[in-house]
Amino acid sequence: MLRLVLNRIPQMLVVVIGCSILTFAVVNVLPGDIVHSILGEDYTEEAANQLREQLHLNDPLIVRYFRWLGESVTGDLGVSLLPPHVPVADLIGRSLLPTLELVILGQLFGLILGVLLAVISVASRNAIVDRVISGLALICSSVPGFVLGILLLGLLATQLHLVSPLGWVDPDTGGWGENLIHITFPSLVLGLFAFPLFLRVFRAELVEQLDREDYVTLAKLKGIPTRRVVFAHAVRNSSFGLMTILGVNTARLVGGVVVIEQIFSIPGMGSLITTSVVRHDAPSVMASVCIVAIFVVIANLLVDIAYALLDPRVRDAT
Amino acid sequence: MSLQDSNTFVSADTRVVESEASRWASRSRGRVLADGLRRTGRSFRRAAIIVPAAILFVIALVCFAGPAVLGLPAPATGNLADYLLPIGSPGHPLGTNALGNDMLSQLLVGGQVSILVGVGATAIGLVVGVAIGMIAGYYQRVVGTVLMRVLDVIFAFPDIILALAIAAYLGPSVVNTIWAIGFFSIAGFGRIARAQTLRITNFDYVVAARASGRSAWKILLGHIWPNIAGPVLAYALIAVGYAMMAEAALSFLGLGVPIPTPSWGNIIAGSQGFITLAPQLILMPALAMFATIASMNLLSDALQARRPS
Repeated sequence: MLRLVLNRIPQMLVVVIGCSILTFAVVNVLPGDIVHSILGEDYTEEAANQLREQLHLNDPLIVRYFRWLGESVTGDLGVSLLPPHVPVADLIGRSLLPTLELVILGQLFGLILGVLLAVISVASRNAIVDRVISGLALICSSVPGFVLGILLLGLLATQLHLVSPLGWVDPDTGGWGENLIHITFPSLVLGLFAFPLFLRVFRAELVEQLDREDYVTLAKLKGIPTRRVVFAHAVRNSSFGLMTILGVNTARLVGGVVVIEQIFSIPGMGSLITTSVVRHDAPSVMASVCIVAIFVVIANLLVDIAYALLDPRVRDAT
Repeated sequence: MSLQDSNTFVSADTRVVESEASRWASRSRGRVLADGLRRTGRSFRRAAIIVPAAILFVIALVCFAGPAVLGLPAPATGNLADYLLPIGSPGHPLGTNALGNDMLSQLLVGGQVSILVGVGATAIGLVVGVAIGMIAGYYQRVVGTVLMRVLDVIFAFPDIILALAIAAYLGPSVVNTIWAIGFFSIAGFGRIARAQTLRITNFDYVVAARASGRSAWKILLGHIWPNIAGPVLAYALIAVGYAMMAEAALSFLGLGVPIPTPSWGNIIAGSQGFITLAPQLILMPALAMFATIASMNLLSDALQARRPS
């Protein structure tokens, strides 16, 4: 186990550093000048040059990258370049909780929905049920998550008044109960976006177990009904594929979160990244993108550890 | 020298394979092409393939030829006085949006833009990704490892965030949207191409070509690409749908295709405020998008199911 973690750490570092280089390149090499955004109306050649000097924008890119890296590693993420000039660490500290809640609950809802529907469609042994469920999955994977979000929001919040259109209540002011009630609906929408992949993989795995494995044949020969075979044996043995999807889905869901946060006005990492790229606020973009990358990489490591703990074949291989 | 000349026992199977092989080897270029076409044509007789393919064809035809054939007004030249007309209004068969623009025209021209972004972004991803993937699979040692690490970085990363940053810094436009989305679709193609290349590289005919001194360039294009093209193209269909969804998400955030150019994504985004007043403004482009992307997913599934691997 320790070896698995030690093996993975260099890979994780490479991914995070790669992401930071990529983002640094996007922020600094592509057109879109921060100096224009800061000065706005007061733009003069002289003021621009002075500001460039002040922000070290005239230094070579490599020097600037390593300066940024050095400062970030020592915990100094810089200050937002645009008013109100909040320290970036504060911005991120405020935005992490909503996104974490969304991604974790979204995965959970997606997982539950996917597993439930897969078991129903396999255990029912009914072609119509199977068709309906795969049709549902096709709809959810062929419509962008935010369209589902807007439509459900319009139907459930504006028309039927069943849920609140506001996705976020600060647990400090409104209490954790309120907070969870409000975040549930956006997470469900995210879950709808996440479940088709779980469903597909789990269903395929279940079918394969039922068709191929000897213990299933033995159970059938002993006269155990298919349903019991599914619930008692196949479900557990098929669940390893789900772990991989949990990892793959994390990056997808973080992408989905960007849009979901916008629809439900949730002040999370997605909103922070959107506003800072629109405002060309380089320190905020760099820091928030890298923090997201670190979280995605850690989530994948956790998935691998869980996989190794559950499946002795993987554990012994590493 | 044929196998029969040697004094070893030759099974019936081997003889069949050998005669097939010699016939295959002596085919003319024209025969090869004709065989290929016939096989492609035959596969189109299956309903699972023909239905989604026909839907896609009709959608593309209507979007690209429709506005001219039907003589529709340009999508953004509406009269503000005609705002939010319902479906079936005279002169505006699908009604108008909040600015009085004809919805049918918006939908069709928007479809052109969405399809263009989806196909264009996928083309970038396919060309660059497949090239990287094939090279990484062929030169497995240093080059392959380095290239795959680079792709891993792009792959591990929430793609929309990267596209968001690229689009924001390049400034919103159709071409920049294509670049932004194309960039992040590279990794997926790279992975598939590499996995397929690894499978093929150790086959006898590749080893034989290598031993006979063919250049790596010729082997990659002449022997490996034709054998990995099937799975790669099946993935490309999914990738087009994925790119169209990404365009919609970017446009929703205001960083994709800029108004007044319509796209299915920015029509939906712009109509968000009218969800109670005129839900059809969101439903129509959503439906168009669903029909297109679902057909691509189904077509991709059907094409992959045809192959044994």
